[in-house]
Amino acid sequence: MNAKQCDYEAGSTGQLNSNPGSEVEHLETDGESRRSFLKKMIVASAATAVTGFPYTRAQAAENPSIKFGLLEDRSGNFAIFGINKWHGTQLALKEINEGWTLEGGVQGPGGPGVFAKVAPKPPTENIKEIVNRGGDETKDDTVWNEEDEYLVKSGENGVLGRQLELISPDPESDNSQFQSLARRLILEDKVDVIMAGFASAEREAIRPIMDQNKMLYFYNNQYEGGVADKYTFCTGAIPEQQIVPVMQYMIKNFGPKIYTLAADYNFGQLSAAWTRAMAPILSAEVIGEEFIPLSVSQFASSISRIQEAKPDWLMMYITGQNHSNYYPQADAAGVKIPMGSSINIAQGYEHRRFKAPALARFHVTASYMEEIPTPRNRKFVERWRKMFPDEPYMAMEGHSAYVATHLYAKAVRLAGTTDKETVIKALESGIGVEAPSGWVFMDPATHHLSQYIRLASCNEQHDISFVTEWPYIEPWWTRRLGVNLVRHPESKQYIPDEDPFFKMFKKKGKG
Amino acid sequence: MEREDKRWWQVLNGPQELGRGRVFWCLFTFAALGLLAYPFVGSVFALSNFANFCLYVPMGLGLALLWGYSGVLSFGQSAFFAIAGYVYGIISGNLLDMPGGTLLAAAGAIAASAAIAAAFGYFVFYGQVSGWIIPLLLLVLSLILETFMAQTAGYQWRVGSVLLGGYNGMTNIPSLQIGSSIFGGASIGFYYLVVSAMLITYLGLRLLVNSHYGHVVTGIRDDVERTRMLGYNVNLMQIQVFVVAAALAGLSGVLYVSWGNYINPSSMGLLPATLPVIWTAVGGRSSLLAVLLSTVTLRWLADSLAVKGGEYAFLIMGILLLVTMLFFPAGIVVTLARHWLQRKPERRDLKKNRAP
Amino acid sequence: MPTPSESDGVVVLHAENLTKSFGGIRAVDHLNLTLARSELRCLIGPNGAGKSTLFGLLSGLHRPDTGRILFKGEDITNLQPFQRVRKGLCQKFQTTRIYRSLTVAQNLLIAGGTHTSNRKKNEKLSWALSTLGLDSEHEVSAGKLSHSHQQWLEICLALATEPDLLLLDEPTAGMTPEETALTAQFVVNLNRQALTVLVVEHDMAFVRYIAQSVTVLHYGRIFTEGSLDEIESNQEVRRIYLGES
Repeated sequence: MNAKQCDYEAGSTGQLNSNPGSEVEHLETDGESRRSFLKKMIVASAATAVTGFPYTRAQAAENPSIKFGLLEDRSGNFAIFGINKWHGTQLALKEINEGWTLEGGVQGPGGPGVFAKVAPKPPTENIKEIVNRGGDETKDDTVWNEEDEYLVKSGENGVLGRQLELISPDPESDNSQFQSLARRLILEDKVDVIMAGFASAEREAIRPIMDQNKMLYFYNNQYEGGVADKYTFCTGAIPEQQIVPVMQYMIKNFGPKIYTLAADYNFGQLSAAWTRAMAPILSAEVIGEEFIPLSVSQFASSISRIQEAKPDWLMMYITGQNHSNYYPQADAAGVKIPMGSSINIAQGYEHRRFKAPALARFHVTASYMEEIPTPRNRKFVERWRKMFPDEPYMAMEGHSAYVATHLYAKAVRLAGTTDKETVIKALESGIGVEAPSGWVFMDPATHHLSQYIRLASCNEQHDISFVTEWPYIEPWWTRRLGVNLVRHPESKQYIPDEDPFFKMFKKKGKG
Repeated sequence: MEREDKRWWQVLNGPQELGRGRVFWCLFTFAALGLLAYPFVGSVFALSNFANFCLYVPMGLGLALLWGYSGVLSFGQSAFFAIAGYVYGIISGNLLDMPGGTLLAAAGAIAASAAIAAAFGYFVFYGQVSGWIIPLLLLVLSLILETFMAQTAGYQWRVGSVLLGGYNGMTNIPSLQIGSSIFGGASIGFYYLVVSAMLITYLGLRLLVNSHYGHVVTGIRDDVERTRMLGYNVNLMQIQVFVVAAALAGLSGVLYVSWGNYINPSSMGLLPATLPVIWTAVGGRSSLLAVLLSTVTLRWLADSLAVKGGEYAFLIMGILLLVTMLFFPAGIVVTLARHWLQRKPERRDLKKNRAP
Repeated sequence: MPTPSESDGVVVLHAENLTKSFGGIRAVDHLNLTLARSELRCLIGPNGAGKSTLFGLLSGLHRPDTGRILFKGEDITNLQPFQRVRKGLCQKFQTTRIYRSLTVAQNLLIAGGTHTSNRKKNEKLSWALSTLGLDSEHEVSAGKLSHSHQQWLEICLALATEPDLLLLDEPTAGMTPEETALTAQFVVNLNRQALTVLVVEHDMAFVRYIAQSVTVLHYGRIFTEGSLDEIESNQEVRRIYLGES
């Protein structure tokens, strides 16, 4: 890895490393301390000599690895997503163990806009005339340059002198396997952290076990939002970060009449509730809603209802292999209505798996996509594909897993220990990192990550272009419900029905 | 040689089950004692994991009774398992402050499964539905329940203060609790609870199948009309057996949610519906002991495969099933046991007189 | 109608005005039949005379179109077959229906109820088994028995239900003359133990051996009844039945 070196600043990770080697580098060499220098050299050599002996090395076991538990499906229904996330984790662990970390740390709320209106420089001549006429116009310009390189040297291999060891059995897309493997990781392997789950059901199956055992748990997947749990941190995108922006864009560009097509389970139903609630604020209207059972793969009747309703655009919340058959069927039926979504393409790369132009006119707000054209993402893609040349597509959640792993390492370094309660406090201290997608920030109150959201538009040839972006969207919804996990620890998942604002809109009859 | 005073010994060693005589019972007692002594040497995780395998045994034994002894194949045991789990979650979630609330919930859950089974059985057995349609109907019942529960995500889908949770499932279900002892998934108390349930269910069913009632049930399997013509209310008996099997599946369901504090609609899906049938078929549905052994072993196998090599898990299970169907149609354990018995004819002398 | 000397005249079975049609064919036509306790009656008639249908009506496999059946004074017309068996009316079928995959002992256990409850019944059953030579075959799989032994096992199963009225449908079908004689002797002994028996048979040797009274069926009606001698000497009967056989 030939990364361009950024200056390593002790302050940005907030922790001096304790590697004996680097201590030697920082020694002064003036006269008075020459004796102390000598003393230290002797001690350091002795220490190195002692630890050089295999006997003492084995005896000491001074650097047991940090056990990193991962439960992602590598077989079963969710295998394509799980393998992608597993790869992201492996890449991040390799980088950490080889001495790299994401730039960032404890900082104030980050995320300055990349583009902004720049004030012109103050005039130095003809001042009176310029001021009288009001000055030059402001113009759009880059105010903050996103750096090309997101990795910096951490100053040590591993974290706190210990390597991170990945323990990742395969839960086979089976909820009860998640449960028994979670128990195994906690009680038998005694891991220091667990990152697990693709589907919300998988997460909810193990969250009680995490809480019972006070295990630090990361859920790295886009989902319907609402988890407020002292021991859980979520790095995937949530409705206020995806649904609201895509609606803004689609309404502005295509019109106010929305028809929702949603999978008939929690994610689809709750996302549809969000759409219904947000529409009036955005001066739009949901003219029709349909909930498709997960097993359905024939959409002829839905397509005819859509054609009859003539919406301006479609809100798509369909998931799974069966539902993805909608796209070729709609295309064959000649449906040319634009589509907006928070989930397809970015997660399941339908634009690569289906023949053009099935996904034409598709728009999705993604926290990450492989096609993002920034220089730093090009580096990320290069590094990923070097480690995993056969990766079919670098999907959104692989990036979430990658970021979460680095985030955890940073928090442990900050905490100075792997003790879970302390690491949780470190994660709640206001940590942000330079992710390949952009700057992201872990919100202390909600335990959710802010996201750099881009709107991807898919054309007839299935090429992706990013037509607009929201560089920093906070996870504000559970905050509105009063969630503050720093002050009031709890363990539940909120649903929109518990939000009085959402109660104002009832679900229409099934279309 | 009639031994009128040892009638229970005769029934226990009746012909309807494998494993008879003093040697067998010595081994059985030894194994049972070993199970009970395990917590002294096993780690907390090992106990929790093993309990997770054993809690499915009552459901498996119920299916062995229903299919092996009564001749009714059922793909609906997982539905009764999950119904009990959900009902337990609903009742216990609403009775959080009541001491003994979880026990009431457990009773209610098993009763709910039994009641639904009774209703289903009434229509099916009194309606004289053909035997082969019953497994299909039960599978359809499971899938309908799964689809229904999967769309209960909204707030309006709640009973009292407990949300059904839709596809995400019902979470934070309290474990069984007696007084101040909580039978949580990683507790020694739970391990003993599961082992006791397993052994009591096995012994109870063993007594049942060797009793007169059990023999009549076998007669129903072999020839329904004949049994009718011997004066037995066959329809009623079929419902009774069906309800017992459902109640046992419900017991497993209650133990499961006490272990994992969670249930969701996929527990009623296609794969869970077929698993008990696979355990029973691989072990040998004509023997309770065979099904007990195969249930625990196959659960252990699934767990090991997940830990060591997930992508081959389905393949290996599929091959196992295929091999069983081709070479051990009576079940692996049963076939091996029969070979063993054929080699030791003198064992028959140890069996007590069974002539009426 | 001549009653056997052992009977005390109490009516066990009274079927009146029974009619049963299948499609357009009237198998049983306004038939009346009365049996007294401890009677041993034979039912004969040409093929298609309605014997099997009558048995089916008595045991409950068929519902009569008209008429009713009184058993021990109770109207059993609307009772299910298993309920009639409980009342004491048991049929041994023409084709053996035993539990082929179970042993003889298990077959008897199923039929017999709890095996220590009724000593008298146990003794009776033991006697029956030893008479018929089945007592050495307790552990034999029923399907592996010889044909005659299967027939006898079937009779024993019926006996195990402690019937008051035993219906035997061609009990000696497929038996050798020796086996037929043994069966006949057995049935007579049963009858002497206060069991009412109604037998359908084609084998006239068997009928001669056992019958006290004979009923002849023809076209679903009772043609005539009487002692065997009377029947055998009846020209009409000879013509419709004995001539045709």
